[in-house]
Amino acid sequence: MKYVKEIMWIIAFTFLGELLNTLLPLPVPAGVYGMILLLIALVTGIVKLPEVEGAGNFLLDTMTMMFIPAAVGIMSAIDILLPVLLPYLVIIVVSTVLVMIVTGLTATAILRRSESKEDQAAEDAELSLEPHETFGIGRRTLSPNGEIDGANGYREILHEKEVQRHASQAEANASDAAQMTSAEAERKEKA
Amino acid sequence: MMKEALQSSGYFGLILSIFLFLLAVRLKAKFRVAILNPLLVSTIMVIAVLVIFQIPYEDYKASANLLSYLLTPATVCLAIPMYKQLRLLKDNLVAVLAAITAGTLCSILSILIMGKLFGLSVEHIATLLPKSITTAIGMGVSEEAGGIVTLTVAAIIITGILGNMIAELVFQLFHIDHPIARGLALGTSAHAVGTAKALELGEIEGAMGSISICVAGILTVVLVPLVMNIA
Repeated sequence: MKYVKEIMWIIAFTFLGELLNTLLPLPVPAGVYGMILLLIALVTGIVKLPEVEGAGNFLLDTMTMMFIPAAVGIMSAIDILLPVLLPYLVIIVVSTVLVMIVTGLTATAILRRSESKEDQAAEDAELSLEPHETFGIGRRTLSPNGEIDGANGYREILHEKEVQRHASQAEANASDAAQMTSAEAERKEKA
Repeated sequence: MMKEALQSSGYFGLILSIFLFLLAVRLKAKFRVAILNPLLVSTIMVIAVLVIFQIPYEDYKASANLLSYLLTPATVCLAIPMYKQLRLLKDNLVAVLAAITAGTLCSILSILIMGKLFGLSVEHIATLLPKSITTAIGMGVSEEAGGIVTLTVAAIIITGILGNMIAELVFQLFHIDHPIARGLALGTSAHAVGTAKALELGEIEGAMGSISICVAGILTVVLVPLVMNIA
């Protein structure tokens, strides 16, 4: 019955979103209202993540496919689209590529600036690394890609360390689980 | 006879869409070229089947409607990656808002300038202005600004498929490597269809795409009427 409850929550928020969409005079679609409401519910703990995650991830995983009927619908607008198709296509292609580049590069530039503030922290963390972990080189080290990159190189090494720790932890958990199941199997055999 | 059986079926459009989408996903996995975008290829194949067998779009739509119907709950579920990445969103709020604002301004200005260059009428410019925002908001914006709503929907979908298709290439060419930057770029340029792609790239990308849908949508609602006064 896990999914019944999950579907109930998701449809409930969809319905609430729809309700707001009809009641409020704002041009906000039902899905966006529902998204904001569900986010608030998750943050305040009204809904717990495991109570929507299974069915939610199913919907997100299949989302691309949901655009097919709308996309096929272009065929019914073809008569009015054809006369303006060329300028439309050129404008859409150029504008979409531009927007993607401008948004991506703006974010990259700001993220880089705020990350350089964290570099100091990374340099400090370097002191906690064993010599072989910095490839035996001093403060200015080679990153694993081979380019000279001070703080970033260290950060990558630190990250790798973290990943290794997680992996060994996961392994330990897995072997625990394996032991458990073999113990269970033994018990069953005895029974 | 066969055709009537197909048309009266409640699931014909559904199985046609899902089967061809899966086929398109396989094709993409095999040949690994951007032009074989699964959404683009499956859409073209569905249209081809409808045209060849002379099945009216309305019949297909009626039996494939479950897919469109699920879009609203799926959009609601975008709250899940956003919630999981809430810390990251808060910590990088300046970058998030600045990037989406820059992208939205770029969208509006580039359409305005190119529209004038091509000598498009004010009506067509109004039709194209909401091309980068999600359909449900875009239709309202277009109508308010005096655009042709049917064409706006077509422009929004073409934009989405295009963004979905070219994102990885653009990211490679312009060294947009950070998951936050990638998600914002996809959501701001190609709305929900771009965000679906962002989700395929990763959870951070998906969360950033989701917030872009909201912010870019709101900004466009506010900005388009102002711009239309000048146009």
